[in-house]
Amino acid sequence: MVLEKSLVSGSMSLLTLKLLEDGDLYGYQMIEELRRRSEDAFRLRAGTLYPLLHSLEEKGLVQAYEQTAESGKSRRYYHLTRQGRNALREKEDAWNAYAQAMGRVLKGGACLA
Amino acid sequence: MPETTQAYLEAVREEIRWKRARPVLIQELERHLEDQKEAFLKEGKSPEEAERLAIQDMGDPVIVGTELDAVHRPRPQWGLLGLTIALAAAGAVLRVIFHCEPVDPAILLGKALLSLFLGTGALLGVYFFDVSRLVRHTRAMYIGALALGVLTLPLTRVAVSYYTRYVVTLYPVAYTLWLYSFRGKGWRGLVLAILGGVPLALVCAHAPSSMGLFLLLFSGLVQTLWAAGRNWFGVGRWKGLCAVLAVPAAALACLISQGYLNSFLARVQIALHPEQYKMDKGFMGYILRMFWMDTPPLRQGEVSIGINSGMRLYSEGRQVRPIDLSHDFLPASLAVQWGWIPLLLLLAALTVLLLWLLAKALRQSYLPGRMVVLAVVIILGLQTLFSAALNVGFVLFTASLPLVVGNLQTVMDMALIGLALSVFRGDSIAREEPSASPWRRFRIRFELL
Repeated sequence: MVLEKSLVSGSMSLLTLKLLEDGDLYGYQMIEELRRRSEDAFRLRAGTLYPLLHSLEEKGLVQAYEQTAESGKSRRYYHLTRQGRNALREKEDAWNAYAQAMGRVLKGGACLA
Repeated sequence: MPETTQAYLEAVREEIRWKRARPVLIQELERHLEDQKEAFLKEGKSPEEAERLAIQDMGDPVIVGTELDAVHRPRPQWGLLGLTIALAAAGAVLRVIFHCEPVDPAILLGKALLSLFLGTGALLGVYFFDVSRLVRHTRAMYIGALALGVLTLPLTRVAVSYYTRYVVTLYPVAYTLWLYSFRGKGWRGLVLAILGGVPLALVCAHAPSSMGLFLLLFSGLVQTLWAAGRNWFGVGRWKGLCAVLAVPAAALACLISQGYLNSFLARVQIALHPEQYKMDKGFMGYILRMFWMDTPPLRQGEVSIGINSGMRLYSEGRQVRPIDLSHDFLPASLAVQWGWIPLLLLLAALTVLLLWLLAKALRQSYLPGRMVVLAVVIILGLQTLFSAALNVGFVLFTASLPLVVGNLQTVMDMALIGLALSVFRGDSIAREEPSASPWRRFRIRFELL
């Protein structure tokens, strides 16, 4: 299933932070991981990811560092900071609240009562 | 859309205005294209097709470049630059007003203006310098600083190595870079990091510069303890801390066994009670305390105690001694002649500058940058503290008030501040060197499994 762009773009920060929750990754790994976890629904462009990662770094939510990958090549890994972890919790809560509200509306539930 | 990787990267590069940011950003995109191309090759695509698809996957280079450009802009430090130059200008004026040498005032003014000019040049020159270059050549920087200290040792003036005493002001920074280069190198790294302080300390001792030696030892100890506390060397936090603490403990034991402790305690005794040694080693401390007792918040008119321009004589009984309230004692001279409020304002401005630097250093995510700034703050902070103590009559170390006392010292101080501001200016692009954290490595491997 291919999702409408606007549905994904608003939650890119959340997805990016979530990917880093379990471990440090470099850009290419993040795109592949996102594709795998979303079962090919989210195909993030590298040109979108890197500016986003850099802006998250500016805000102190992630921290970049150089490290030699398994392939033997040097790659720039991103690490979720404590501040980033807190931001992730907040974004997850906000997203869950939003999804529940949307679900109720789409099912024609509480709001019509 | 560009056809080749190089054309694509060039198109992105053109959109990034900050030259210093370009290599870091372009390298990351290039590596990504490399990975993506390899993935397409594994899927059976031809090299040309794989490259074309990888570029297509990346997105419009103009948009990518523009977005990266928006994130990575230099962070000008105009406020701190302005404050530094204003303080140095005030220092130049004070050096001309409160002099004691029988020198033509025009020559003094010329020297002070030259110092301000060179200092501003050093401040701006270092400010626009890419600090990450220092970090890439840490050991070369260390060896360069050491060589400069050794080469200037023979240039003596009044039995001291005049220029070496200024060069050693940079040693805490040189040692910080040396220390950083041994990150993740285990016990061997820890031992070499500690041993690196020895040649620098020997140069300080030969200059001789007790203040330089103290700054090096104090800054070195603080930074090495901090590094060991974060298990930088990978030998275990507590083992590392114990090993680092063992060094000053051994040095202290050695000094005590050689009888240096007694002479130091005697100096402390004189500094605390200069009145008991007033015609000997406690003379300056005693005279300064006498002046302070007679110093109002703001002085209007003549100095009642009989000092109004530099050198005077103090006599008691048949002994007569000159009083030299210039150079390191310039702050006291300022207070004696204008009252203590102007001096307090000067010290407050310096304190604001140092606290501002410290606060920004603690928020700095670029680790080597943070360490360099902390070394600068320690140097200037301790100089300010000891200078204040010296000028109120606690004469333990000679120390120059940063940006105020000494023409050449002012140039060195401004260069050091420029170095700190350069770290803040490049904050958005600064990156850590490869991490040696075993935990972080473990997490990466785990993720890749």
